[in-house]
Amino acid sequence: MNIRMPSINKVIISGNLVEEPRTDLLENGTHVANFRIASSQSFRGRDGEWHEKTCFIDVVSWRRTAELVAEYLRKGSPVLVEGELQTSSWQAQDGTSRSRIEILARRVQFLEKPQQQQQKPESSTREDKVGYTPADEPPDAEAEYDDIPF
Amino acid sequence: MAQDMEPLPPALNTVLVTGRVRRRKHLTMSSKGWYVLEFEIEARRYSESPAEEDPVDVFSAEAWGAFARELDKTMNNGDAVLVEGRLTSREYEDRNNNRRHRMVLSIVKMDILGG
Repeated sequence: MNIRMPSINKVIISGNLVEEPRTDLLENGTHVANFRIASSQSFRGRDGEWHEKTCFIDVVSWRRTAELVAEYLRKGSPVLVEGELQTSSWQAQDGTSRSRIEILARRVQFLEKPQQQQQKPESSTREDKVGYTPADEPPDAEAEYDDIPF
Repeated sequence: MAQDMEPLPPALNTVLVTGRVRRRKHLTMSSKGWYVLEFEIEARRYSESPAEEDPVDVFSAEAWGAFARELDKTMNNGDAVLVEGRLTSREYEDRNNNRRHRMVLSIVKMDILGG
């Protein structure tokens, strides 16, 4: 039996926004939000001392997630992003081709606790829960099932 | 006596990806004496539409130290792999002397699934 190699692509990363998120509304009405986060990691070096290394990661989100990013995230906001790695390519102003790795966010968790005076009343609807963003649904839910190769 | 420190918030940075190895370079040693093995991982995202070709993403990857030396003996171009690692960024200067950064997948663990 020929077994197909499984396709796995999962990223979980936490960090703080380094700038205000860039949001846009496409002509077809789809929301998109791009932001960059700084993720720091502490490690003990060969000298026995603790050091910190920071890397900067670009994140793109779509639809409902993008709307919530635009509404709740600001420069400095701590977040946990779950998603997939993808590459995006474009042509720079000098004509050269560029590509970069970015995270396609499926879920963004807002880690900053709401201020006391801004706390919303408890609600059973998930959209009212600050810090919760539902995973994006594909525009055509049936496509998810069509992708199964058997 | 060390001061009590507040526990650091969890710095989560985990990547799990399958793909094929390509552009595997020779094992080298960094300026600080660490073995490093650089390569690329070609990963296919299965297209939602059967009529469309699967989009391909290529990620730069690297392994360090003793792990790099082990991979140098066993990993070849074309190998199907499952890798676990973390995202890190590398700075470089482009042709116009502009400082840029690129993302690299620093491999912590790798399973070779086949050739």
